[in-house]
Amino acid sequence: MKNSAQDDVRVGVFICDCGSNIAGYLEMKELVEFAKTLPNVAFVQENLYTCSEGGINEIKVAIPRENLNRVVVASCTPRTHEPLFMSACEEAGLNPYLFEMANIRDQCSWVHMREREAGTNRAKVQIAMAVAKAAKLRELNRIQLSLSHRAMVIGGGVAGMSAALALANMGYEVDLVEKRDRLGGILNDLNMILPTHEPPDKLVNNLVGRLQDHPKVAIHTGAVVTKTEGYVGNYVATIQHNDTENKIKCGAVIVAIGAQPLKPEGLYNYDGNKVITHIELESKLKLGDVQAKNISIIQCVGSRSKERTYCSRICCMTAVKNAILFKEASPDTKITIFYRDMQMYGVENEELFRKSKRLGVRYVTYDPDRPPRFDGESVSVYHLRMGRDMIVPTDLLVLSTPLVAQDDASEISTMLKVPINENGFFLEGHVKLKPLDFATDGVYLCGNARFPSTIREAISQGLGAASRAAGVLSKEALFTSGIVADINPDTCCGCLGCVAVCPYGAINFIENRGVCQVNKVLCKGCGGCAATCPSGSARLDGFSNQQIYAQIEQAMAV
Amino acid sequence: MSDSQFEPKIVGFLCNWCAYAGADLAGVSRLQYPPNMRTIRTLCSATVGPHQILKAFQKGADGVFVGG
Amino acid sequence: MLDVGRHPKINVLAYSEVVDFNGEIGNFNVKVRRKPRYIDASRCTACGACAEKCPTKVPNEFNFGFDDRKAIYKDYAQGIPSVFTIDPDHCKVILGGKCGVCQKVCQAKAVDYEQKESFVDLNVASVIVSTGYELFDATQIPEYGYGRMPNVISSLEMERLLSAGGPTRGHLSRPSVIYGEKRLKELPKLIKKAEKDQKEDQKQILEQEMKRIEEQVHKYHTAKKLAFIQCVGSRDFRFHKYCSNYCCMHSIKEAIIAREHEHETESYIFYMDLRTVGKGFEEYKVRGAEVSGLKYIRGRVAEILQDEEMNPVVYYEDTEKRQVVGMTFDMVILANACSPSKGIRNISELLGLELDENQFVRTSPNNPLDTNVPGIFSCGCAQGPLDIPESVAQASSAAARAAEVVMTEGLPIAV
Repeated sequence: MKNSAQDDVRVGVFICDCGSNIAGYLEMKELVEFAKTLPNVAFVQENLYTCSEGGINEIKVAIPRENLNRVVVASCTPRTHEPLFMSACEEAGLNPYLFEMANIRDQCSWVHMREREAGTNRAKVQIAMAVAKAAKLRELNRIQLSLSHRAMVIGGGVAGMSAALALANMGYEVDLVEKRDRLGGILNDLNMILPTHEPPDKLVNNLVGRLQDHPKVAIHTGAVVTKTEGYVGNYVATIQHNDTENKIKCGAVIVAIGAQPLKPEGLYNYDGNKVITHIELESKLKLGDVQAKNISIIQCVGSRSKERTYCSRICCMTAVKNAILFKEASPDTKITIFYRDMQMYGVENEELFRKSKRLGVRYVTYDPDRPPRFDGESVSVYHLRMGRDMIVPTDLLVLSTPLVAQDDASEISTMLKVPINENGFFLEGHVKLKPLDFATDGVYLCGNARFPSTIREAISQGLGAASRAAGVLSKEALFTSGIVADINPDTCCGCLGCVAVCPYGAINFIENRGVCQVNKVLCKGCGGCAATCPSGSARLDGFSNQQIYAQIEQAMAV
Repeated sequence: MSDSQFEPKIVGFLCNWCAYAGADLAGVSRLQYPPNMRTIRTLCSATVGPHQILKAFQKGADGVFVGG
Repeated sequence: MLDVGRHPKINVLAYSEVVDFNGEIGNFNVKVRRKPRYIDASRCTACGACAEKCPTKVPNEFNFGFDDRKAIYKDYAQGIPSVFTIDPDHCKVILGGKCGVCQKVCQAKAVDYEQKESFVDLNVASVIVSTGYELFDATQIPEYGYGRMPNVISSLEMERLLSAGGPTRGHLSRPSVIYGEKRLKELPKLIKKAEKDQKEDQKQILEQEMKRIEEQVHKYHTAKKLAFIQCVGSRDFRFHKYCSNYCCMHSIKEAIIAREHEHETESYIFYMDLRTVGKGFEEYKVRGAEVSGLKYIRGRVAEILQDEEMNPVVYYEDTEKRQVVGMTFDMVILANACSPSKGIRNISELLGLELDENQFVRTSPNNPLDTNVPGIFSCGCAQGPLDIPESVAQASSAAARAAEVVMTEGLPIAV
């Protein structure tokens, strides 16, 4: 069954030889003659290279001359050349979304090089499909939106402070929101930083000083973000400080809420006195309140286990750091570190690891199936290299516990509509390629909120998140893509199926009307909602059911 | 009809970002395969709904390939 | 990469190098030499007709010589910018001989044998140095036999063998077999020639070789028992004292993929500490053991020898079992260290950058992107070994520092 021609639709078909890349393997004359027979086709032309200046010009000339209102190019692949042909249409006064491409090179002439007849036939089908779809295309528009050039950073640790300072230095107004009463985050609880050999106050004070002096930075300490509304470019956040609420507008949000050390309740007779964590050790060291002579440190306490599967990245270096500081202060102190793998990756860490060995820190590997035991006086462990138990007298036992997610991580995740993983760390847009982004535009991520990181890494990520946010803030206006989903409010039953599948947080449920609505700025046009919608109310313009059906019909008709 | 004469018509829904890119790459690498597929480009394999797959079978497709 | 290639604000100067540099933050003058491609990049459509017809074969360095490319080539199909390049060291025309086939077949008229190098002058406010790293040359460790034993390969060679777009289309062929098959194609011609020249001795030797290789190729086609050796050149006082950061995960990944390609594959990973510090890494390692059957052996490999059938034999001390063991494998993959790139010396001299004792660009923990020169920043493996997520994050960070300079019109920012 062929579609009857729609009177008002005039399709121009441009068929590219691509030198001999297409013409060498397919019957071009046949394709041209075939295209002329298709419904709605008003004009057909063969080009040596449609993408060359000459070819583009022919499209631009033919549109007004032949009164074309749809254009199909049969050539290489839309993945590389669609933007070029779309802009040619636009320049000729045709809405660029009235363009469609048939792939007759990458997916036809090049893969059927030895099957001239069958290859030509497939090319015909692909052209017929493109023409049928083109006839169903509608004009689409890219909507322009204004935006706020201000940013909000949630969390005033070293990552958040670095992010805020970088954005301010780029010229953007920044609101830095910290829930504690002072900036600095977990650095405030530390004793000393290696390899710089500096007290953390120095770094914190430097950053705080520059932030306080910066005219573009507004610091909100003792404050929490209780609500965010809106979307990329246009957020309204409510900041609560004591009993007052403040609403601010911002274009981008950076999540830098950090993490907290695990308290190892119930492990190794943890008591916070003789058996302590590193963070507790560092507070004691700050006060000069440690007299132990035989110190044992156990790694991976509460991590790399069934319950908490991840390696917390920084505990090995924390242990090595504290061991070095002890040894430097009193070389007679006996220090033994019980470990599974010493995670001293990279240049600086490995250097510290070597240094600690030079200073006489003793390392003992343990098998996670036979972990060390502590009886109050000594640590005993099965020594893998010797093949028997060894006993280490211990008057202070330090447990290397992992960083775990903040208590409010899941709340913030819900508020900003960005995901967290099973451990409560925020889940980036792509583990490798988008480590500081979320799938949702306008929200960015850095520091321990993403995953435990060193100070060096936290600073770097803070700057990186600032750079990602600046990608939005630097725009004069935001444009939606033309190809976005739309939900018909008259038929939507408010089942929320689309809200559940949308990976970009782009669909809102409008409660008072009981329907779902697409935020066209956030929509990336994946069409998941359209496939899910039971009532057919959600539709992806440019890839709608009617358009795809037209393609399917032609795929079978030829 | 004997097997050797049977030429199935396969409708392939290919995600623009992966399977469609892969099919392009097959071309760039000049990998040869039988010309039985007709490609429909989608912006995500998630957009391929049951209606579209059923439509393809209804119209006579012998197979449907969803690549994403 | 495609995004970079397409971005209207990014001007990609590939196949080019910085030759002169001066100025200061906010106002650097950079001279860039553009090497001649002998191709008009504005005309080339990357259709590949030229390479198809080019008669000159050259070992393909992108695939570490496992296969050949032509003298007109593109490293790989998805490369950006998408244009071909003529290799002046092998093209017959450029070397003064006769050919001209590519020019004849190019319908876009892009081939230009007369093309000369050109220079571009840039004025920029800020510079980012991201010159990457080089793979440690494992021939420096003679006891591992790399370069002498065909079935001892580097981690990047393994990467090419596993790649669906690689020389074996992702099949894990033993390199001895790949080279053997190549030789098998040459041998009949050589035998014929010996016959013609009436050199009976030589003919016999060649025939024996052919028989031996044929047996080899049939018997041991696919590598199924693999050893991955960690810290090759890293954490080694003779070479690099530092840890190369990403190799543990790289080996685990390659072992898991090898298993996905061939279900019988058995992999052993020999390590000192298995450093799985990134997000999801430890879980990946555990899954490697549980799902893909990887075996992790704590112990540094002392020596690799080779038996008569070109199987590498790995000698190591299993520190958990307290014994020295020899184990035979089909193939050994070395986790080569991340070495500083050789070109960094030149660049650092031009730009006035300080390097650290390892020859990486010097940065400091509190200013991780800043070099000693205000306005010049560094990211990625140029400043030390990093894995992909950290490199990508750092690239954004360097962009932020550079943007601070650009957007304040070069006013120096207090660090």
